[in-house]
Amino acid sequence: MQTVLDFFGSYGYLIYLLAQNAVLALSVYITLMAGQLSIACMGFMAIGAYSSALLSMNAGVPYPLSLVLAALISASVAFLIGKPIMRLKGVYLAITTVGFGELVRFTALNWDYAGGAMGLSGIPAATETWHVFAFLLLLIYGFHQLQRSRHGRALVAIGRDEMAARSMGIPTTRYKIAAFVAGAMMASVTGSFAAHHTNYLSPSEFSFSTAVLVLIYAVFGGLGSHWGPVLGAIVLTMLPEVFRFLHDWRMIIYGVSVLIVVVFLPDGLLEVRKLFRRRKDRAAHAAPSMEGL
Amino acid sequence: MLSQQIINALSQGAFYALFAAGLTLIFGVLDILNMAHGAVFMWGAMLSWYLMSVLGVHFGFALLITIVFCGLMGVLLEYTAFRPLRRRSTGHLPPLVSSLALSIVLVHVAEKIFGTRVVRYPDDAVPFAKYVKLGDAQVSQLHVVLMVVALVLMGALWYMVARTRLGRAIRALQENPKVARLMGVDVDRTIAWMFVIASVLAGIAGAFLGVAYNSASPYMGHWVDLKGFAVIILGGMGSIPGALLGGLLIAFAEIGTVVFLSSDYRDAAVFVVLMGMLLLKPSGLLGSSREVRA
Repeated sequence: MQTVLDFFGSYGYLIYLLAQNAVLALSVYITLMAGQLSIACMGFMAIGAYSSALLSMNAGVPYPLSLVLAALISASVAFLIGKPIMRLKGVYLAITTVGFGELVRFTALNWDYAGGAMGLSGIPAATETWHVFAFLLLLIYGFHQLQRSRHGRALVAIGRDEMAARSMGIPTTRYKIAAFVAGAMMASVTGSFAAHHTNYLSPSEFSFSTAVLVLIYAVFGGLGSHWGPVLGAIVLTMLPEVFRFLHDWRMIIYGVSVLIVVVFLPDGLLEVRKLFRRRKDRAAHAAPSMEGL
Repeated sequence: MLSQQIINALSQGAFYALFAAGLTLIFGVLDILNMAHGAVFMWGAMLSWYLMSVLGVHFGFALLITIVFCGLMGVLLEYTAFRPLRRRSTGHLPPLVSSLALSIVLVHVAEKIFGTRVVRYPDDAVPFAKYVKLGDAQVSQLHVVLMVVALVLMGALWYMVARTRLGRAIRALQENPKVARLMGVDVDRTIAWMFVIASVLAGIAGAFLGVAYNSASPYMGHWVDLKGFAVIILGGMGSIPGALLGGLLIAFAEIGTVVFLSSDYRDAAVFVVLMGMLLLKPSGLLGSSREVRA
């Protein structure tokens, strides 16, 4: 028992990060399902984190409620900006969402009420590690259901060929905005969790470089199903810890591993599934493809 | 005071344009966002700093070595991050991620070799360190040189694309890669040259920016990548004059914000301008109206 506690003591935060990063990767994945490359996750994570922190510190809103309110705030923001920016595609959309994330960060940086550059401290502690894992499991279940539903198939169809999907009568814009809002809410909840877990927020946590790491998790794991982003996030979050003995070589190894997987395994880490599955099943499996991106 | 700011904006804008020229060249032809462009830029700055201040090499010679080195880096980019992916047709997400991965590698290799500090150049190593008076403005000669170098290189790039044999191959590729191949264009070779040219421009931009602002660090690439994206969208992806216009516009938006509002909003101004542009005219100021909307 003592060893278990020791293990959790030294790796507790890492374990927390595994779940957090997996949820973030899923938030990027849901927009990728619809063929939309959005890297706005850090912006929405920041909105979620700051909203729930400020709500609970200054308005005395209890923890679970502040989390829900923050998610609703993020959803409204996503809905408002979703309509104009979901008309863009590909790299244009990617750069716009990066711009959005940076604007959120600048706002946090310059808004004294939210702590400004000094950050926000003294946020009441409330998040337990299992909360994030429970949320992750909930999402995995949700994605499992989604992938078999008509909505999931509609998203995948849009991702494959938007024109064809539209001519089949799928309201593509509505689905793309819905995916964007859903991704925003997922990122927002991880933000609220993080705020009440570390009790401290700083604008620099939500930078562009962190946002692109989340995109790397998703593509590294593979976009064939929702297991890809989860797997990618878990493996890449652990990688620097596993290679700790390599000291300053570990990030180089990290980059090289990502490069090798992306270049040689078109389906990311999920490629290993092919070793276990017959060809027939694979053909029948409807999965989002990267072709439209 | 205002004339001082205008000159600052011009030199800053020329620098943004020089950095973005390589990005826009690659994007305009291949539809790929090269996320490692900023890392090559950083290597240009760090390598020339290392040559000048640790090995005591003269600036001109350091610049020459930097150019060769960054050109080779372009070859490395093409062979590791882009060519293998071109073999299977993948859309633009995989090359974006593979170049991101390569930029992580390049940044951390630089960290390992040059350290993680922000470095300064030795006083006697910096060329054109004098200031000249232009009206009531104090102008660093170095900023003027940076501006002239950027303009000359952009002119040369434009000439290369519009008038030379390689440029014709590049334009043919942009038009239609399959037909270009049928017409005898060596596609892989042409693309490799494009990465070499883009990386050399990034390296020169890095070397000059380092000395002009007397600071360089392994992390300077992130910041400039974001500015580069903004510039190429504003100017129109694939357009070299557009990159120049976009660079100047971004620089004036920044300096204008600093002068009339506050330096706190400097970086935000860039993205406000960028998002406004994307919503009004996503193809940019001088971009060809290729399909950018779904």
